[in-house]
Amino acid sequence: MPELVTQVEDRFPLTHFERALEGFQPPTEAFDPRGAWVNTYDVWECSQGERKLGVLRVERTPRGSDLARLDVRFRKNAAGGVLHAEMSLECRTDALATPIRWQATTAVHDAQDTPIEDTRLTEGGEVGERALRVRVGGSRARTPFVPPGTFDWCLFDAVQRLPGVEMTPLEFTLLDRLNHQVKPGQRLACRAAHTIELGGRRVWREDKQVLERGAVYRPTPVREGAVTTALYAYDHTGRGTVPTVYWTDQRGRLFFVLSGLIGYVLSGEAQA
Amino acid sequence: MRRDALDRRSFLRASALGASVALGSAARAAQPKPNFLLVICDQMNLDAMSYLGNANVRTPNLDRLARRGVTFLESHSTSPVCSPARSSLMTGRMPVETGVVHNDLPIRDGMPSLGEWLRDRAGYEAVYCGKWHIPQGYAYAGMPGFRALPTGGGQGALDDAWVSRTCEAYLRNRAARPKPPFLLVASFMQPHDICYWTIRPETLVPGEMPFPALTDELPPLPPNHKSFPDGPPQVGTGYPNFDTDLRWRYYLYCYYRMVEMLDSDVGRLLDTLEQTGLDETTLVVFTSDHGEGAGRHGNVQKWHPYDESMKVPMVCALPGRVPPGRVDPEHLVSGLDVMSTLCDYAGVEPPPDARGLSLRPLLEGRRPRWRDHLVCDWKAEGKIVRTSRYKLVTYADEPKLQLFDMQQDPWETINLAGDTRVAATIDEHRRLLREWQSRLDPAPAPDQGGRR
Repeated sequence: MPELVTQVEDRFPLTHFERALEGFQPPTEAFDPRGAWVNTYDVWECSQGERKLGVLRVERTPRGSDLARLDVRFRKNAAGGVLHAEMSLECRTDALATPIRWQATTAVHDAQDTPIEDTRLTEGGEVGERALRVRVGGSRARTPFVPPGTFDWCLFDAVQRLPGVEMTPLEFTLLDRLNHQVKPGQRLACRAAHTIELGGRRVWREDKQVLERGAVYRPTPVREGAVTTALYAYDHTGRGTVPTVYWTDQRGRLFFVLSGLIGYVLSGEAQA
Repeated sequence: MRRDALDRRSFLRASALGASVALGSAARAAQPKPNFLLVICDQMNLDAMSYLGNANVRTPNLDRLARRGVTFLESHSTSPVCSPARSSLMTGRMPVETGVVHNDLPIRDGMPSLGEWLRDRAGYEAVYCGKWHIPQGYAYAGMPGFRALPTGGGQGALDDAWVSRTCEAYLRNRAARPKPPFLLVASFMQPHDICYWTIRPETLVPGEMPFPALTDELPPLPPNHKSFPDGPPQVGTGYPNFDTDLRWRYYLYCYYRMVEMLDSDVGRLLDTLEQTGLDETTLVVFTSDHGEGAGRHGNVQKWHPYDESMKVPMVCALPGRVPPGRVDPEHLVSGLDVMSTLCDYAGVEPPPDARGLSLRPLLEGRRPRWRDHLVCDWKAEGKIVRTSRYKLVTYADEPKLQLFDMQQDPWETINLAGDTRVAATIDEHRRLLREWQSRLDPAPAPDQGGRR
């Protein structure tokens, strides 16, 4: 690991999410990315201000040595409503958590949490050798798909099992945002290992500087209550994707997913 | 299976198209009302499509739509600002008439929206999903003329997927009910997220290239990146905060990825239409409220009278009635025309004083008499008069003008306004502006409650 310890406000793109990361305390409990786990993330949008807009919960259940089940729940506040998504995927335990089949349901609820007519949608699908086969409502569709490929939410699992700076960059096709539009030309690579002061709060400390005649007090930013943590940063770039960085600790636990204005920050509700 | 279906569809389209071309006006009026899918995006350049040869972006779904219909190359926003442009799309009136001369203002009382008009006059089920911004940000219960599917509340990267997903749900679920024709507005935020790359440049476009592996993939700068023609001070002299070419190019890289995100949401809608069979009976109109600086004239965002801000995509497709795969480089079209076009296809007159023209004759391959100039607003008190050859830019009482020869200088690098040889041209464009303005019905100033 490099010796240099940096702070959130010094490291792109953490610096854009400084407010969202304020108070984040790195979990210390044991974590096995190959085992059963639940990670819960607060969904932040950092545009002009910072807003916590939703929650993403990812639960992994191993199914033998080669397969795992991912259960994903997403909830997001909207103007006049709440958006709900639930997705269950059967995935391989390979580097991309390659999906084999999935079921998903989405719906929009009003402010009283009553489902809004016409907004519920259920789908199922399978990833075949060269195509996606999707059933939505009464229709079936077959979409050409060049493997290797994965879903955005599968990457929340996959990156936790990558070996950090030792990894060979992965090139793949992406399916994201519960959409079946394939996005080829994706690349995932470990940029670096960083040692970063996480959590705590940035405050201004006044340092006294003695001069020849008298003294002055100079404000200096310091982070109070921070924890020094070693992180891997995995860069994900490609077609139809604003560059995204996945941050894991050295046990593999995914702490943050930061992409442009959107940040997923592991919340205190996470359980091993 | 899909190929068989497409072949059958191709045959049906060809047959219907032949019949349509042979129809006279009476027969055209008797044709069934199509459904309407109006897709509005935010801050997209007209040329941000691979279909039009832009090698910096890949838009397979917008290209698919363009191959099915007509793509206009002289398509202009009424104003390079969100709310004013959207007020025109929704009413067919100029911003000075809707009263929405800048962001976050409501449309003047008593001016019907597209949803109200088509619902009340033509029996359409009018549904709106996504960004609204006149003045409420997003579709909401009680919005004028539309049933709202409320998905909004954030920026495009998070919300647009929900707009397309919810529109998909609406289209699939309505298949089980008795069906009046629908007007579905899918209003996406992307690629507007790029605005924040300029509002917070220090954290989103850092001085050091954040993804070195991308360096070889960054788009080149546009040829007029460092062109700052003299003009009214309100035109400005470019965005100052990107101090290196690399920052500009990374900014453009991110912008085009946002266009691709939008493209995938449009793809979901097109797939849904195909899979439900609605594609045969639905007029799809794709446009944007305004464009994006994209480094041209050193600009970001919108607000400017230059084409990067003013020109927007306008793609229309209706199988069987609109011949596929045409690019119209000639006719001046406007956001004003959406209202008149949809009314024409719905078989009703547009609202009184709607300023637009129906695109239908152009879409269906006829040669109507067409407008020879357009007037657009910029920054509330600025005006643009665009003819086939020239663009005149004025600002309130500011004596400085801009005149560009858009045929000889399409990147708008040389302001001809000081050249005495174009004095008559300027006078003629000023006359066109005066005549246009004399026909408008400006909104009264709002009262203290914001109503007019």
